Amino acid sequence: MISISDRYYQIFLSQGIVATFGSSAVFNCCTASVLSWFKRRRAYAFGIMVSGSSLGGVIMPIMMNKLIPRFGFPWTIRIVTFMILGLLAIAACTVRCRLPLRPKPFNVASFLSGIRDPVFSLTCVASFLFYWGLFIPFNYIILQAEKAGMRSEMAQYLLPIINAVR
Amino acid sequence: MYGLFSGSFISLAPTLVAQISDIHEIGTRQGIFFVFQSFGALTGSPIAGAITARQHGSFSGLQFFCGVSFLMSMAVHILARGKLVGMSAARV
Repeated sequence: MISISDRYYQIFLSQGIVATFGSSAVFNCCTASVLSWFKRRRAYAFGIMVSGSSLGGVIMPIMMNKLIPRFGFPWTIRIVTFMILGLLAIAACTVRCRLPLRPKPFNVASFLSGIRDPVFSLTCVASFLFYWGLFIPFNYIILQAEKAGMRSEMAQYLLPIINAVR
Repeated sequence: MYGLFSGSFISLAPTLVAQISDIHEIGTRQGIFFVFQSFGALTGSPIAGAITARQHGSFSGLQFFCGVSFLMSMAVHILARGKLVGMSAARV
């Protein structure tokens, strides 16, 4: 849908709302599945899983920088989408949950009860502060490098470098 | 350097939640955890952009904001750990 948007509200709706619903659903399912299969080496397994997102962060910027001059923005987005579709098809066939699914009644109070635990609420506040600062370098490093005098072709590779080290 | 250290936290955060919660509550608690994270991610970049605009394009304020938020996050994490098992260097 982003490929056919040309107004701000269309981009906001398609990228900001629809795409995030889908990607967060996929991410949460995969996370829950991985965490349910591992007990002793859970952090290790989760680290390998998250490294996939770093791999995407390396490939996507370079891919889009090379494809946009050649095919234009709409077709670049469609190419990326088809790539994601193929990968999701593999994931949909292979991701399984170990624990049996037990649908629970939706209860708002159960969501809020966790906040009463001081350790958990402090951890939540700490992660809020961490994510406050986390995306700033990702968003601004290319701008800062170009302002400091780095050549534009080289500066485009900074984002993949950060993601590769992750 | 930044990628190296931030990546370790991102992969450890849900495991943190899993370690301090009952097995039945892990999913719900992770949901709340991610809600807090999302508000941080939502507001962080626009605030940084506003700081840069206020400083007429200089990036020093943005760097300072980023560093201070990480330091505050570290302090609150240490506080949480202290509340859980005390401030000694013993294992959890």
